[in-house]
Amino acid sequence: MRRDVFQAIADSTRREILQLLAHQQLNLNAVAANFDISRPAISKHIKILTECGLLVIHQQGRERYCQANLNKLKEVQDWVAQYSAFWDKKLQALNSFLVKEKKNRK
Amino acid sequence: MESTQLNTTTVRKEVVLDASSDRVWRALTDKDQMKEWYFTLTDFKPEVGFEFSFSGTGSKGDEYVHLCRVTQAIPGKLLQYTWTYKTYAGTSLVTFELTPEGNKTRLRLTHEGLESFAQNGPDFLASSFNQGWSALIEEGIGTYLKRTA
Repeated sequence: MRRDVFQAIADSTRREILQLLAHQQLNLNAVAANFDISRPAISKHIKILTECGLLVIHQQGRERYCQANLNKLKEVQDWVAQYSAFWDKKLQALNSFLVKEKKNRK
Repeated sequence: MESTQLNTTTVRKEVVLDASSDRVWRALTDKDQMKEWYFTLTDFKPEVGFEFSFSGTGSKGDEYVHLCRVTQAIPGKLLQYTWTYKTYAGTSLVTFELTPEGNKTRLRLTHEGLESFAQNGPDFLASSFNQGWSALIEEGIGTYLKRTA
């Protein structure tokens, strides 16, 4: 399996985990408590997110805390920007078409 | 509610067009008008279940066949279709919402579900719709030259 940001966000549970950690650090138990799936399944997702560089695990005493590194998502933003540019072009073209059509009807 | 950080996989656009919502609707749904600004399709019907496809070439020369199916159509108000790729995983959704504003029309475009294409990796290229772009740009330059002549 690839280990990049795209792989990280390809799964809905992983997106939810990131969502949960976007504004707060939580320990592993607290993360798992938010989901109905098994603890090992959550651990696997956390491992993938860590390997993709989107999560950092801190050991604090006996607790392990997860912290999101959302800066990595910029790669995804850059990719989505292509769609944004596409629609900008298309909507400009639509506008030009309507303007031209209006002139032709006069 | 998604935070803005993670909501990066939805594209939202809003434009006010100098045309009635009926005319904008025709531009969005009449294949002869669509080819002037959007894509050349053999047929288009704003009816739920209608399927259409078009191809585009990615920046690396890959061929991407787009497959779409109309999911909502309310004349003059709302058009929505799925936007998927042949041989690639993922499903996204394109929605056009039209709101009359005096003699003009506010058009809201939403393209959501782009995260479902993530599994295809970073090389899966969004800019896979070069079809018709060169013509568009040439036409744009032509119009510009006429205006500044």
